[in-house]
Amino acid sequence: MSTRRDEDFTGYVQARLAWLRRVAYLLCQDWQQADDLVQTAITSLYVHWRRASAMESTDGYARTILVRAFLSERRGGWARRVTLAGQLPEAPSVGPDLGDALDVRAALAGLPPRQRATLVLRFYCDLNVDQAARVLGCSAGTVKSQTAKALASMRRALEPAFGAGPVGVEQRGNGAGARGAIARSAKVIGHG
Amino acid sequence: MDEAGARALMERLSATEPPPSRVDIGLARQRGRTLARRRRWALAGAPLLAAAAVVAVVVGIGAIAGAGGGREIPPAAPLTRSVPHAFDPLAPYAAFGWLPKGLPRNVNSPGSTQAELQLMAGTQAKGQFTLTVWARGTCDLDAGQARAYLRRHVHPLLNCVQDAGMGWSDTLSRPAPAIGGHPGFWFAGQALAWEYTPHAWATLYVSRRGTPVRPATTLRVAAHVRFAATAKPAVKFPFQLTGLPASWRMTSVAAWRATGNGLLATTSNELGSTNAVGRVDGPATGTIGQIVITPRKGRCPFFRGSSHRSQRVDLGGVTAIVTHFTGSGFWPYQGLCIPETDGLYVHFLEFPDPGHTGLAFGGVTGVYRHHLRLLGPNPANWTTRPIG
Repeated sequence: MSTRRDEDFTGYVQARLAWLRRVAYLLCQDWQQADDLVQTAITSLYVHWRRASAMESTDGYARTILVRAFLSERRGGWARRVTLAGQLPEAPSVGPDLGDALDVRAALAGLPPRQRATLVLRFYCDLNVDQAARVLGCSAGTVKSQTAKALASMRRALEPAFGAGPVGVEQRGNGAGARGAIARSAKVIGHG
Repeated sequence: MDEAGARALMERLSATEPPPSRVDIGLARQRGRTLARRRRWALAGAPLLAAAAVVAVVVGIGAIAGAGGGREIPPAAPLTRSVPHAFDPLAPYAAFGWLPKGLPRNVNSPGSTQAELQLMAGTQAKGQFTLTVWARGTCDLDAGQARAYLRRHVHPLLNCVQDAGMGWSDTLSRPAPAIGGHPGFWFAGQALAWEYTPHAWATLYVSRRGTPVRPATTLRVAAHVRFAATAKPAVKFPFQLTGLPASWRMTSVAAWRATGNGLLATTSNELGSTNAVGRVDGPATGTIGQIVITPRKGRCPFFRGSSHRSQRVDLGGVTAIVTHFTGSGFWPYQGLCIPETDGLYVHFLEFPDPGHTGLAFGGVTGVYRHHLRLLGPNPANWTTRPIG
């Protein structure tokens, strides 16, 4: 393989590694698994680098490989698999509402892999339905139904944790309780 | 939760402070080079190290034209049944309908999974044709988009993903004549890609030492490929797994071969993925994989390391090598190997279900004792139902 190819590939991965790791982390909900997933994805990316680097969106190509590797690992094969159920997600200590933060993360981790991938693609990567469908290798209708199911599951999972208090579901209209819960957890988890 | 809430959730979760990265870019390059070499080797027709050798006899594929290889045969009939999103590896989806006169009539299969079927025919001396057929939805381009790109002098990438992010991709270089009424495209010099039905692609690689194969020949071979060629399982196996959960399926089959008289010669044990049996939908479950059962006597590795430890086990008068794999980061899994029993070499692995401790079926010895039925070395006794 040419040195130029290696340099280009290395430069791209170094520049986008943080982003790849974040996407992988949202999918896996575990940093160790996320790094393993990224390792698998960039290995495949290297094999297809000539084509990937010529594309209009190398990021899109890398993201597709990453998501499909995630789904494939969960579907079967010889890759190692670690169940997420019952594991406490990693999280830095961020304050007195850590329990709420863990609820949110556990709710996401509790989604089936394809629903989780759909949410990540739609609401973190900001892909539209058709774009997400192409990454996932399914129809637009499937993406819509997976999105709806995932949002409903997240809402059901989060409502008991955030049912009480001034932003509880029973005190607001449809969706507002969940929005309130997310806003509270956002203050806990994030930096905003 | 609504979409705005989901966006906020994703942003906040992604802002979690990450630990130092364990990703090794150099290792990715190194492994990527190895994978790329294997792919080039396989496409060049070399022995398939990466495809496992399972014993399969293919009957009824009927792919090859008869003795008069130069006879004019009408192009394949248009597809009347819908193209599946997932193939049945036991029922090869496509077949060659015409091949040039004088070409050896053996058809090999380097692999068949739910996403992809690959067939090879011919030799490097006389011309080797490698047909790859992808299930609907596995490739991310449609012919209309490809033509639009080419009109703008942009060479689109046809990317077809198998699994684990691995697959195949190549850049389409220019339009080709229609194949069976479907748009065709040349790529990689003399290779052909066409959308045999909307959202489902096939490719045909051609190679020959010395004089290249004429494009007209390539187009003719492509035009006569028969899709939906086999409606029911046709690959025969020298074993049957019984008593498995109803949801289990054969998810991939490798290295079956059909000769002109319909008999299948066996192949040797090689590295890489082979037959796999497992649940195909839903949560990840255990898998019985790398099943290599061939009518020959073979050698079984015996490991003495800390993460790979073998022992000899007597299974009703048959000595098996059972190996426990306990590498760090992996759920422990097992392998069983028997150099020869009932005229067959037997090897398989069992991987655990992450939701349970230990292995199902009592581990590999339990699989062998209670679930594996060996059918002997005579293909006449083999079965098209490897899961009974």
